[in-house]
Amino acid sequence: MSHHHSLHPRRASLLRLLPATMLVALVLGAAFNGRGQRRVTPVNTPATTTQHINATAGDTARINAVRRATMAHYLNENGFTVYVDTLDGTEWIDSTSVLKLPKMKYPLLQDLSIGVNIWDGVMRAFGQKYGLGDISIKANLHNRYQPTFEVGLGMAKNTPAALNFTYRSPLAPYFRLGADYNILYNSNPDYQFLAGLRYGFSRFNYALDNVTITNGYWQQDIHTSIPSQSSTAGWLEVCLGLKVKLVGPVSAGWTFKYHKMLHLSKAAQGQPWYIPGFGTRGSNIAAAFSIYYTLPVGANKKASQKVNIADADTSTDNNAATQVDINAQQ
Amino acid sequence: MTLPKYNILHRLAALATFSLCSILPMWLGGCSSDGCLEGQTAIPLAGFYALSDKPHAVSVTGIAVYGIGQPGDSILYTPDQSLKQIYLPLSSLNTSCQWVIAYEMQGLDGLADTLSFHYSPVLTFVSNDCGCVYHYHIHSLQYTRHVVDSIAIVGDSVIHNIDTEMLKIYMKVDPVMPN
Repeated sequence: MSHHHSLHPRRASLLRLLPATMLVALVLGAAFNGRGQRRVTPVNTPATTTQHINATAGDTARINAVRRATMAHYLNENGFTVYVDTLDGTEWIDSTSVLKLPKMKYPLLQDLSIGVNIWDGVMRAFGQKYGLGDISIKANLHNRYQPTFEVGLGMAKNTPAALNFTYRSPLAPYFRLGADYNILYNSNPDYQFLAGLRYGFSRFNYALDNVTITNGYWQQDIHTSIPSQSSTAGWLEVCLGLKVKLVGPVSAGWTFKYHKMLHLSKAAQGQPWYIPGFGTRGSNIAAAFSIYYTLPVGANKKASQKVNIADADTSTDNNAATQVDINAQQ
Repeated sequence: MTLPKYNILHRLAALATFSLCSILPMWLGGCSSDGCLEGQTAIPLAGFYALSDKPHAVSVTGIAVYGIGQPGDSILYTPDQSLKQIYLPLSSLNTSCQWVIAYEMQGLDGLADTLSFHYSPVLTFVSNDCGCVYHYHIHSLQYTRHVVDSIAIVGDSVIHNIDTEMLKIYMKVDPVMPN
């Protein structure tokens, strides 16, 4: 009995809470159910008639579109579309077009550079038996296209150990004409990654001295030479290079070349071993290391230019202008 | 919008990285040399063939081969050798030379055929690995026909420093041992 009496108050309180719980559930259910099915009858008031205007007051895209429709515009030297307010003369640039990088970020003639290739000279110090050096003149157009002309001098003198001759090719000029393409054309001109093509040409002479031949059976020891032969060569080079500004107008750069002979004179007494500007005939790979002096022809003019850009997306005042120096990297 | 400015250390690091990438393959490539894959001398190589219904290569025994006018009258091949091919070096200082094939076998003793080469030796620079070699432009080849039936020159009549058979000597079958 005592057990029965001790449980009874708890049950009573639960029974008292049950209707209240059901009432709350009913009210909540009706509230959520009513939200989904609510119907609103529109009522026109002064506030609602201007609601669409107020809702788009900050929509800069819409505002810009309206302004474009009523304003004259022109393209500036950087390729940006500049809109002119015909009422007050305010000029502004559509910020959406600024975000896209222009096709040609740098001026037509960005700079001129003169280079000296010292690779062969250095390699001669380490025992190479051929080559001398060349000078290149390169125009940097839009920091992208770089037509190049190279002129150099080459020579060779080689007496291989355990062989029977001295190869001699006196000083002869060579020329290369071609162009590079700066893959990093929209980046800092101090760093250039270049891919290019060259046509090389040289006319030169070569001879072989101190030729010794032993004819064993006929017991003949012959000391002779091959007199000077003239030859003309033309070749194609595919180049891959890097040019890096060191200090001031001085830069340095590697060029890695794959070259292939296009034409070479026929020779009655053997083809040349060394071709000025090409290197040894049997090799398809060559390199150059050049020191450049850059003349900033167009870069100075460009560096001082500043462009007003209306940054409508970040400012609540559409007439506010932000100054952006797009050539600060120069 | 300002592009980043790099200091000279970054520039040198970029240049050094590219230098390493450039020099390494060149250095590795420079270690290997093609060498002289051809010969360093140009000597006509002649093969013996028997004339029958179908000409075929044969090995010949019992012949002595020597050049006329060679200092010391040195015999290049002796009769005890079994020969399928023979080298006939040409004199580099002359424009003609003669080679004798003397038969020392039963029934042909005392017989000999003489091959007379007329040519122009041309000193030729082959390559930096092979050096200079005499090539021979053959103008004519005359021969007697005691045992030799005919001789054919293979190719362009120029003896290069390549070890290939340039002459085919077709012989009458009798003295020839089939291969």
